[in-house]
Amino acid sequence: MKNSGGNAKLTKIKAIYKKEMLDLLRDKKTLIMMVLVPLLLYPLIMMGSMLFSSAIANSVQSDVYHIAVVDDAVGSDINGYDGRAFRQLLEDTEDELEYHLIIEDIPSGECAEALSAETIDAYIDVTASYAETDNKNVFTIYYLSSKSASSTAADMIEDKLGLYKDQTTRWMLSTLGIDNPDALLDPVTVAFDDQSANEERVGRLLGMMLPMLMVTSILMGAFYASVDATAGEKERGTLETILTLPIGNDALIIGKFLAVSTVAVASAVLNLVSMLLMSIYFYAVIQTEDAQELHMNLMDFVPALMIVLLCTVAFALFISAVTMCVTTFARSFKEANNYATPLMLVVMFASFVTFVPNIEFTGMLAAVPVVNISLLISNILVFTYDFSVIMIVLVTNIVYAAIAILLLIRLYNSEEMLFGEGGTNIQIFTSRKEIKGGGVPTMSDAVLVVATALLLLLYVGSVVQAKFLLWGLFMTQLFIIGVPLLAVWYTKRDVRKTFSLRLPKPIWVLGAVLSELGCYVLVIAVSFVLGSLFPQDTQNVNETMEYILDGAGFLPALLVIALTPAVCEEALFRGYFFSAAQKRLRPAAAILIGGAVFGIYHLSFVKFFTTGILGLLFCYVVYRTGSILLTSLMHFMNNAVSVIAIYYPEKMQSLVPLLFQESLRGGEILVLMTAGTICLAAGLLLLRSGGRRQ
Amino acid sequence: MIQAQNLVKTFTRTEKKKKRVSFQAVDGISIEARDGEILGVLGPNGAGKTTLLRMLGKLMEPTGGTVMITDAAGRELTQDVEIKQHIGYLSGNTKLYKRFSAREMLFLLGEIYGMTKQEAENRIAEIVDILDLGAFVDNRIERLSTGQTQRISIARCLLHSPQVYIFDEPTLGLDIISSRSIIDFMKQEKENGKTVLYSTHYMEEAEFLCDRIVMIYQGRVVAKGSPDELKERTGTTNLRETFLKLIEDVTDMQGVQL
Repeated sequence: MKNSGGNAKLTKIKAIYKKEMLDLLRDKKTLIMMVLVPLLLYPLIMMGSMLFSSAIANSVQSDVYHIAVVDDAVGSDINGYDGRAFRQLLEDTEDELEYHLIIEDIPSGECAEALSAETIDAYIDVTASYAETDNKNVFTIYYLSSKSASSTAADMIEDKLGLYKDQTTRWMLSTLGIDNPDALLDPVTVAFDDQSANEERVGRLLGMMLPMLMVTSILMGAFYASVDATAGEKERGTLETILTLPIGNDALIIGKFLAVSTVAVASAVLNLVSMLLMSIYFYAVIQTEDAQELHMNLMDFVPALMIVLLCTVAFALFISAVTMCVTTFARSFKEANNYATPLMLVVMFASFVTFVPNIEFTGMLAAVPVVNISLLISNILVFTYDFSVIMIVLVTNIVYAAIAILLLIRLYNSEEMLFGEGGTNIQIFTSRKEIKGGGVPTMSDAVLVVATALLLLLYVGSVVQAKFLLWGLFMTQLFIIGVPLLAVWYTKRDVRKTFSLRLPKPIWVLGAVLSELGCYVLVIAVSFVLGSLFPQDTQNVNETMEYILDGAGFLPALLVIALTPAVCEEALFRGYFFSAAQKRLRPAAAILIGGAVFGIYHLSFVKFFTTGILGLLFCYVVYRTGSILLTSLMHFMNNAVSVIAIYYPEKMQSLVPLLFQESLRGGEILVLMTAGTICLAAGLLLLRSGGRRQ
Repeated sequence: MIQAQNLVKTFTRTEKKKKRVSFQAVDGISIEARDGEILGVLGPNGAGKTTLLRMLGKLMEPTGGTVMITDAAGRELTQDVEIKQHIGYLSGNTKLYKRFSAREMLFLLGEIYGMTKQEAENRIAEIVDILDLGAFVDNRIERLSTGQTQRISIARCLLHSPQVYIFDEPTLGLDIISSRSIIDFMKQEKENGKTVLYSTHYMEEAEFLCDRIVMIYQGRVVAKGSPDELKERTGTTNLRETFLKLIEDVTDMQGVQL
């Protein structure tokens, strides 16, 4: 017992680390997750995709396509048409392609029948009348787009027709007495020279897939280690033992965290190694098959890999801290696994960003956890280095990890967490018969419901909005309200309490209207500031709006953009989610989180702030008055004013000149901010004056 | 020696209809246990014994009050980590790391107690001798019998030669032989001049073991004294009846107040 001070603390951290590592390594589950999964995952995926692609290639290459030509009634009106030469051209197999076309001798009247019976894959009709087709030869290819063989045959005929067209043109020009048809035909030659190296092409492909696989795999490794170190300690009854030791919570957590992140980092490295080995094998196979195609130098990948490794380690630290925060809430492995699902969904979802086409990796995105590492890996695989961005990724991951550890130390100080009953259970996963119901939803349910709504919004919503525009937006809103309604029905909650359905006092209505107006003005001022800071993002937001509206009438726009969200979004955010948050958290925390979630839901960096402010106000109003009807009214007003401003810009501009202009000066923004704040404050005062809710 | 002044622990419990009710699990307890003494902490379930002992052992932060330990050299210690350094804490909830052998576990814990490798090795060898663990000290703990595990638990408490032992129902659910090893251990350490705090529901055990007894009910001390004093005061012949009588008195008094 000679050590003292910081040195002693270090020794203790080291001892905890050793203890945790030994504990983890003796657990088979962790080992499997850490070693076996990454080692098997990539070979299986690679081999699967190789088998799949070679199966496709084989089926395509071995085929011979049967076609027919309809040209019986061809007269002299087709310039230079020679049936025999044309057929020869079609059947010609001079190129190295292994497949070719065989022309079946089928009477012209029976071709359509033969095609639908699939005795031929396609046929071509050259008999269209010259006169009827604006003095052009029209050759029609008949095929079945639903059959892949037929489509391929049609493509091949089209290729051959290209050759035929070329020949015919040359012949015609020569009959007109032109000596050098080439100069006339190709006065300008366009040549493409792909400067991207082979590595980049392969990298782009890998860059889409690998980040998500790796992020998920690291998460799994970290998750099992972290369950073992937190919930596992509770489940095995050793938590109290460890609390008897002369070691501060900070040292304890840091020791545990280091052990968990060692596993996560090891898992990351194993992932990379496994991926690399598989790639080497993959390229080796390709090179023996076709030495000309790829000139890959694996050494070229080394610097990229080193950067990936560094950032991945930082990311592993971050993800370890996050998983530890989550699993600390659980008392047992079983409970921890309940928490795994939402965490997994969020992380995987964020890592899907690499599938978004043409996404630009900016400093902003480099600060978003999970998204940043995914984009970094995918960019580095195509050799795009931007060291400032890399630094942001590294630093933010380390900062986030530090924040998560601080949070974790606080959690470990909370006795409710250590000795309490814990257990916020996710009711939605319980059988409906066993649910007693009543009251408001649990926080876990609320998080799950919002996450589900968000996923629907992203995957279904984006599709229907692209397809049906304004009405797609309407459908999306129905999902938004559908999810909490279903959840309330399933968990038998009190509908009035969950959705805060309560008539407001008249004075509150006045307060709500005033505060909403103030907030609207304030938000406009804020969005002008944001617009000057992030012009690109702001422009995107505006363009999306115009695209969705697409010339729809004023009333439908008002219905879909103002009225429906005032009902649907309020039901989800101020109803289901906020009632749960209010029960679980302190008011300030509930309002803050309620606002943030509403901001995030709008899926835009700029909108996050503006809608976040609105979300804060709405949550506060519901907290104050217990009435969602007020926030519905406010939400409607807010969106309606925007709709009116889009449809009647001149009127609005003449009515309130400052609010609806293209640009504002700094002084004007200040005026707006002051006016907005005063109006908002007056409204809030009125909301308070009506007496506290019961 | 361990002294506690006016310890208070307030818990908040969320009851039905989302009412948050706060209650005092420990409501102003002052307690002192001297060197060479076994102090019994008795009381019915829910009286606040475990909470009190956890606060004394610094596993739990008190809402109010202080804890101080005087170590063998006479230094008065109040910092959490310092206090823990001088306490051997054993309860039904202090399980062992099953995936380790006893030697591995003790070694790692020794490092956390601030021993050097050599110190830890020597101390473990000593303890193996004292508690006769030689036959199984290198086996993984998960493969040991309940009795063997119990002895390893004692070894864990003994490892850092603490001045104060806190035992929270250490014999609960154990057979006579395992219980005896713990009881013998407590007696032994008392002889060595250590302080032992001990809670139990076994009145016979407490009666012959404890030098003094603190009776706790509803978070407060209702009686203090040696077993004989308490018996005399309540006019009972054994500690079991003393216990019942004391609880009865308190409930009666509350009845009057109502």
